[in-house]
Amino acid sequence: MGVVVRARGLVKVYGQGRAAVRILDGLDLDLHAGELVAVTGRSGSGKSTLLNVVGALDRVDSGRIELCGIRLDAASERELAPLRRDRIGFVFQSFHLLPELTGLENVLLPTRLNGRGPSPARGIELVEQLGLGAAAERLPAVLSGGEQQRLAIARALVNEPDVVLADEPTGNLDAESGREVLDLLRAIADEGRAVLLVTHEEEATRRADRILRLEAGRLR
Amino acid sequence: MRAVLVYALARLRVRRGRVLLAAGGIAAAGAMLGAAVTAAYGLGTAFDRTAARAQLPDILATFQPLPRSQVQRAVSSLANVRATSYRLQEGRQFVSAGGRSSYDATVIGRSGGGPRGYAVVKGRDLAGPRDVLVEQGLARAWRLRPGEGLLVDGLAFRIAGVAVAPDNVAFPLARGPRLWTGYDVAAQLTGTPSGTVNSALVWLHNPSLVDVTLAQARSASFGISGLRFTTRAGLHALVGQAAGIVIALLVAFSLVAIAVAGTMLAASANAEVQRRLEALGLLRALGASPGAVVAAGALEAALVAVPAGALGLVAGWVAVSSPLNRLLASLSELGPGWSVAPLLVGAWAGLVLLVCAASAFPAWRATRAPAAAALRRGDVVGSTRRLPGAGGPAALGLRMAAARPVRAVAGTVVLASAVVVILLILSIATLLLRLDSNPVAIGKRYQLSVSAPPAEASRIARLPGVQAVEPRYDVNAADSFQLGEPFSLIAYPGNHTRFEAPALAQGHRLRGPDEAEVGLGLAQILNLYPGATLAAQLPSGRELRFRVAGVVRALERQGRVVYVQSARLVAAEPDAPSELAVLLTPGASSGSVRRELESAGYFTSSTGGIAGQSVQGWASRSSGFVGVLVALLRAVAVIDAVVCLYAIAQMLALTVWERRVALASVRALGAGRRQLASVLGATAAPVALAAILLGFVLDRFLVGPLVAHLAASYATLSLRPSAAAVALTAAGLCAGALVAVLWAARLAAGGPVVHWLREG
Repeated sequence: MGVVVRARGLVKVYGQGRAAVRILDGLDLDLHAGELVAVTGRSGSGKSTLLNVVGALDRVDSGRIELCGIRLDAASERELAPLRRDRIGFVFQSFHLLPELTGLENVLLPTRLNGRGPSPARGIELVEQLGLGAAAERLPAVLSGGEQQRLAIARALVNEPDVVLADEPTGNLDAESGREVLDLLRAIADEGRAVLLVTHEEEATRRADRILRLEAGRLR
Repeated sequence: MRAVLVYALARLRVRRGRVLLAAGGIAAAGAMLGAAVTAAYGLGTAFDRTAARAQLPDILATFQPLPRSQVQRAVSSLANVRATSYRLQEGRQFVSAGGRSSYDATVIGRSGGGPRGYAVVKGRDLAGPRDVLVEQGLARAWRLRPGEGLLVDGLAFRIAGVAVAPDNVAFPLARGPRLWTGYDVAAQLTGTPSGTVNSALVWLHNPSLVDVTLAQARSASFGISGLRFTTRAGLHALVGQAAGIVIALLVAFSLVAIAVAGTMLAASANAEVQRRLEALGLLRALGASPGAVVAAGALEAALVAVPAGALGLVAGWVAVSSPLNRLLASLSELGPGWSVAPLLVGAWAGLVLLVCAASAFPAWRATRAPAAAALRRGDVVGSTRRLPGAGGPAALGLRMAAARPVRAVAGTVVLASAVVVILLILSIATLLLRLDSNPVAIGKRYQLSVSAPPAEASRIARLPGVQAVEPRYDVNAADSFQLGEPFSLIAYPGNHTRFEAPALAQGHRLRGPDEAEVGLGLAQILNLYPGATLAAQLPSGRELRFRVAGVVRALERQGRVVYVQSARLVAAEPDAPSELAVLLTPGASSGSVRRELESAGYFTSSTGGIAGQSVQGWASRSSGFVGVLVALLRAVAVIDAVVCLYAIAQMLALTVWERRVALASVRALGAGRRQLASVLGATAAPVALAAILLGFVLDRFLVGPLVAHLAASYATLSLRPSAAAVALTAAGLCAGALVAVLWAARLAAGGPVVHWLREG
């Protein structure tokens, strides 16, 4: 399996002067296609920060990070936007569905951002596949947490990304819904995509191919 | 409460950028308010203010030179007289100073005591025999200062001071400058026997009984020839002819601008407090009472509004003071000076109160909802309503706008107000230019005036390009019953409507020599209506009576005109001034006919508009005045457009702030700046388009007619915006909205996505 994400010597510092905290301190990571990697660690250890820099949502202070051979640390915002749209799928703990759009419209939004017009077939297929037919035409406000998160996963997959990044995806869900979501992520990895999962739940780590613990700014 | 104050101060200290932006908005609206208040007050009260300072008399009587004792006897028989003053004044004096000269100066010598009738605005009053006071218009035009020398008919004088008297417009609007000297010097200069005077200034105990005093004066004036009375109201009307319509339009516009500034301030303050909802929610979560939360909202707003509002008001006052003073000086009137200060202080207090109230209201609303709602940092919670659209960036933007309907409506109202002001300014500017140059705009159908006796009419009528020529008589008359009400008696030998035909408001056109068409302005003052009798006193003292046939909406001289047939007028006043009105054949070139006339030895002038007709020869002495005014108005339109841009930018900045999590989510899904611009553009587009439409409708059907009526109820002024003005305004607003959208998209795309995403 090829390396999808390669990170070397990542450093991320919060604060300045004596109050500065090196949340990532020379972190290295290789993430391969078809593997589900779970990152665990204590609160404030930098798990979400790691996910954000891998997902091109945040920048590192130093170090080198590549996505499918493309340098993220040196890319401009103009270059990062299409990478986020086409190569990365992000699943957030709090779903981040847009309240004005229906479930299906939320799923299709990334396809409409490329300016070439939407390709609804893949979105509808994902929605059906995830059992969200009834939720597709409704607004997020009237959907359950599990339905919202599954829609968010469908949205993350609609542009066929190389890597899916999930930040505590079951954190806001009940046990049953959480299990469904984790099964989905496992299935995504089995389809050949790289999945990086930040979690502190044992249930999630049991489905991972590798479990990495983030301590003192490095993965162990 | 103390904790709330400390907290408010701390927030201001930390969020300097935001505070400066909010202060900028308040200062901009404050500047608009300051300028509008200063202009409205300064222009609206100029005559009365100057008249009070100059001790302008209640009655000014002019007559052929007579011994002062004879006039005194007549005046002393009148009741209600508080004070009198006598003068000898003579025109056509030669004056020169600093290499400039005029043959048309009027020298005024005051005989004896009594109030002065003028205000010394620089230097001192007359003291020595070689002292002279120059009018402010002359001092400005020739750059004269107290202490400098001046020659009158070869006699050397020293300028003691500069004076203002609002009984005539100032030089160079008036044909010649006015100079005040001692009585003996005036008598010497004019070659008048010592002790004679030709005008009396009368002040009354009870000015409201001026008509009674005038009636007494007429019966007591036996032996006084060439007697004419002008009241203070009449002087106001005469001076107002020069720029009355211009001033009326500016005052009406200022009133609209005050209302718009208030709307903008309220909307700006309301938007600002929306950004603080999270902090207000936190205060509530920490146990602050609803009262303290509302006070925090109002207090923080007040801390910004107090200095920013003061700064803006002062800036507006400074910006408008200089052109205002120049405009008023040209009318022999004084600028408002410090007398406007209490009004500005009141406007400042009103501004601060408005901002505090507009800030306290959303804070109060926040106290009515659960604290958690405010703590959610303002991001819109999902709506249960579905809206049509494909769900792309543009549809998302439209739905974002629809999710905040009150804000969309408020934004529309603010922008529509700005559109109204811009359309109004452009319409006023266009109207002024039309009035200045287009005879048709003031109801005239003839194109050229020729200074020639009536006998020349048939000769001129034979020239190529000329369709018709008739003598046009224009006599300054006064109402015999209310002598203080002057008007113009305009007469043609035949049907005047062929040459000028202001719209008929009541009755019918005149059909015979005993009938008259009366301007609505005069009809309103004298309560005239079809069938009523108008008694006109002519300059010679003779009286003509006419039956009012109709009332017309004449713009000229504020509607103080009367149209009659010339036969009776010429019989009563053989020396009535006249010129020839030349009507060109359709398609004939005015320029070539004019050249033809001039080569035949005639002096011609374009009929012109207000500039040419309001005051005799005003246009020739004030070329560029209307042009400067129009340029000034257009500059105000540009300032308003900037305020408009600020309003759109602020609305979008608020949307970006409030929807930062949603926008960050869209960015996380791969949206770049272009897509964000699509989202925000779709948020702004409906507001901008609705504002253009609403602004046009308001201006066309409400504000335009209202301003026109406020400015000139006696005439039909068209303040309808032209298609070009509407297109220009719409294009400007769209361009401004585009700039604001690009700026907001840059704001939304700035910094790492995670900064705002983390807040979700």
